[in-house]
Amino acid sequence: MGEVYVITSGKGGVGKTTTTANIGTALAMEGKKVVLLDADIGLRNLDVVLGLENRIVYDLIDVVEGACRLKQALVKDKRFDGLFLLPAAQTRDKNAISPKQMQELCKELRDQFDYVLIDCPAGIEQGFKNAVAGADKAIVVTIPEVSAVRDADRIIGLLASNGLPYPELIINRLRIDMVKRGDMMNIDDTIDILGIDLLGVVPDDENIVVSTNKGEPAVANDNSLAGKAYRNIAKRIEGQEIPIMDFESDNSLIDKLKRLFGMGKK
Amino acid sequence: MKENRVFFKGILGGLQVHVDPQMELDLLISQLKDKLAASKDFFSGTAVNLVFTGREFSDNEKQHVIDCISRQISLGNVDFSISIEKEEENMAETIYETADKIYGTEEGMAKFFRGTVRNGQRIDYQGNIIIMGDVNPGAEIIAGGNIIVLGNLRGMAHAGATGDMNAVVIALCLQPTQLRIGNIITRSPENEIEKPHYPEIAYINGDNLFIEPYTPGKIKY
Repeated sequence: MGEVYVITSGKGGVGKTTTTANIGTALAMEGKKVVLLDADIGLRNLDVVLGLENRIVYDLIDVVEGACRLKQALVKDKRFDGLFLLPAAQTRDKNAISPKQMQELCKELRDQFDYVLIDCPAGIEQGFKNAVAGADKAIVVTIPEVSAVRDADRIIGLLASNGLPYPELIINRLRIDMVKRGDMMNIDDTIDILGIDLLGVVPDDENIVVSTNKGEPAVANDNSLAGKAYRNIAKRIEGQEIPIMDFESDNSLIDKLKRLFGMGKK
Repeated sequence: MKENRVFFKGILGGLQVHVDPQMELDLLISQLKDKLAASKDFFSGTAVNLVFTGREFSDNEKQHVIDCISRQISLGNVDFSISIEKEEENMAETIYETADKIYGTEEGMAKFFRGTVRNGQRIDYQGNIIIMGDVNPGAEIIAGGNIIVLGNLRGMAHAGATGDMNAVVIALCLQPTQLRIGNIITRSPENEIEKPHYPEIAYINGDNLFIEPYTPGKIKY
């Protein structure tokens, strides 16, 4: 029996899709069987980030409408064995599927995979409701900006009223240099407002843009700081105790981060 | 039924004395004395405001009644103004006063909320509200009475929403986006000030809303 995670944020552009692709890939690298479900119907991106766009034949809507079998719609990743994508339909909209159909689909996927990761669309409307309907757990992605944190707070409230009261938080695109100068919200400020458990912190990293454009998740790149952070998050999801932001690859950064996360000294 | 012809009723700030319109003055006074004697301990030490209802009193009668009972208890204001014709109005007033008891800022019902009130959520209650958690930006707390936040108040709070200017807002960390008491609306100063590390209280004095450190025992609001 697998676990179904929904990755959500409320605000757009904070890195839900990138996070979904990277965590999913990292879990697959650990030998798990993972399916990534793109719930952003009409604005699908996950396939592009994974570099699987040209392999799509059937999609999520085809499955729920019975036009194909689930197995036919699953796109197998070109690099990692246990990784699959169930793409969204690009020519339909969020109303093409109901929360109930989503629940049934998640139930079916849960039986076949270790992890089901749902990439939730931005917003709080139908697309959000569909995406959270079948989930067992939620991951809220935010960036350390006031507007994104506001939206994350709203989403946490909505998750609670949708039966997901204990989501975990990923703080994405943290600019360590800016936090040091006091120009950016730090991790403590963010957690202080949102009041949920921290699953991971992903530093801002140019490699992400490059890897997204190339369709190769950053976790596969050993030199990427963000990739390392995502690998750590995947390990935490599997239940391993990994301290937040433990970058062995960069010693000067460790010291900065220890100040950041250690005893809460700014 | 003779002994039940004078009724006492607690109202806001005093006692309502309802008397039988047919009753003779002497009988009324003797019953009143008995009743007051029975609850002498309750009245001792405080000035009691009385409102007589149910019958008309002439000026002589009024003075006589006041003379008799002022020997027994210390009297505050005594009001005879409510006549039989005003009975209905009086009823409405009584209901209003009862509502004051149920939803008032001195005494009344309270709603307890456990947990964080998040962006987009709203807690709305006629009485007092106590939040055992944080109130985040974008959340709204609307109370007929007082609001007490045992956590950070960062959202909007409106105490005394039905017009009660005696309502107060207390928070362990008071940094609301907007604060309203009664019909007064205030917002936080634009220039970011240091986050307070002590509980604060907001209250109305005159036309102004004051925010002060909350110091137990030094209550002047």
